Amino acid sequence: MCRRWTDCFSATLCGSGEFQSPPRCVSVCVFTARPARGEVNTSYQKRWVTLKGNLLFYQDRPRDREVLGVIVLEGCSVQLCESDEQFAFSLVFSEAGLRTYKFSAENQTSQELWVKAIHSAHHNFLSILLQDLRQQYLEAAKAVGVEPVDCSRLTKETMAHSQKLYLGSVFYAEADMKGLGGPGNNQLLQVPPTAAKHAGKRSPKLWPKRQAHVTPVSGPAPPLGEWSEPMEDFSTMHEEFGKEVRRLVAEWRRRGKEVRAVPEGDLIDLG
Amino acid sequence: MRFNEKELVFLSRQPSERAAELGMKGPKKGDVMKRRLVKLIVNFLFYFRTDEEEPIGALLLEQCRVEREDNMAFSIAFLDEAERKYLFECDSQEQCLEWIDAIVKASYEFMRKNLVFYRTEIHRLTGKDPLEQYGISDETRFQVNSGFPPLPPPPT
Repeated sequence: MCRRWTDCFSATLCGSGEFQSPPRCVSVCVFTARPARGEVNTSYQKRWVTLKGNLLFYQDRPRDREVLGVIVLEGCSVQLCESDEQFAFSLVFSEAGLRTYKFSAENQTSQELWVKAIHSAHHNFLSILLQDLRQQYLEAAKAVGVEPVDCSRLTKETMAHSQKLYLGSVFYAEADMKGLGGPGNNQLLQVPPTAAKHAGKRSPKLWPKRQAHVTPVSGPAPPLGEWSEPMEDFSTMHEEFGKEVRRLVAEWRRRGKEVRAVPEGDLIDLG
Repeated sequence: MRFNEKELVFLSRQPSERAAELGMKGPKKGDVMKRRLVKLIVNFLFYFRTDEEEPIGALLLEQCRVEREDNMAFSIAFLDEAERKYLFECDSQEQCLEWIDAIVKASYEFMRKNLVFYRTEIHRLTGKDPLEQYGISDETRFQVNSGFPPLPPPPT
């Protein structure tokens, strides 16, 4: 069973520049939360953590070639949390048997940036955003009277083109992209077909048990609610995410003030 | 590299974008074509023995090359091991093309590039950055380079 899992991540071990957000140094504590027993082993280990798409990689040092491990950011919610370490946040999966990961950032800004980044790292977020932008593009092209790039079917030629794009770093200076600008350059990228073609196939409820509203954890994790109405519209989803993050941050700051009022000798016992 | 198998198994139980029984042959020399249930879920391709609930394995569909092989087959190879190909045999040419299409478009990197394309084009056509209204225009993953390249005026 699962004998070939090692094949799964072989492609990302080469540590190329592609498919990468700027790495940020975060101390990571990996621990298992067992429902009946609560936290065990809260020792933190310093790790260099890199967010690549919907995957969170961690390694010992920034320039290490060897990656220690990876966390798949699907079906989990990120929460600010209390911990021995400051500026902590955790990843909690909507599946009971999956371990919770705890992280401690270097400062509040970093903590907030990480929470925001992980919150929108899942595949569906990008998928919905992309649909939204495709729609805007089609409308803009129509309004101006320009023929939109039509790629309802992949052809051998266009596939060969898109294969070229897999090579080379794309997140920063990208030679391919400079050519963009005119309809004549529309060969560069494969544009996915209109949403209508795939509407029937995609299930909007990817995570039936997913907690749609993250809440700060001060005690045991709150029970996971039912998946709320699937948000197929990016604006709505973005609004909701924004509200959640702002609420979390405000709540955390308020709590932070209360904590700081306590003299050093009397630190809250989080054990 | 460590990863949590349970996370992957959990993912493999989610609704798939596409699922079918296909012939599948691994990249190693002794591997033979076997019938597998193949499921595309986000940017992972899971494969199962046809009568089993848990997957035997999965492929992360990033930094990979998907190619048509013959009439009804396609292959997936990874950039760091270009000779090692996973081969998939479909029941029809149409099914084959649909799978290739779906796999290419499932890649996070592919989606990201398309997004950058749309962003640039919308900006060119309307003068507005569509990501600004969402407050995500600064996110590194959506950048083309340090700024928008100099754009020609929109066509009249």
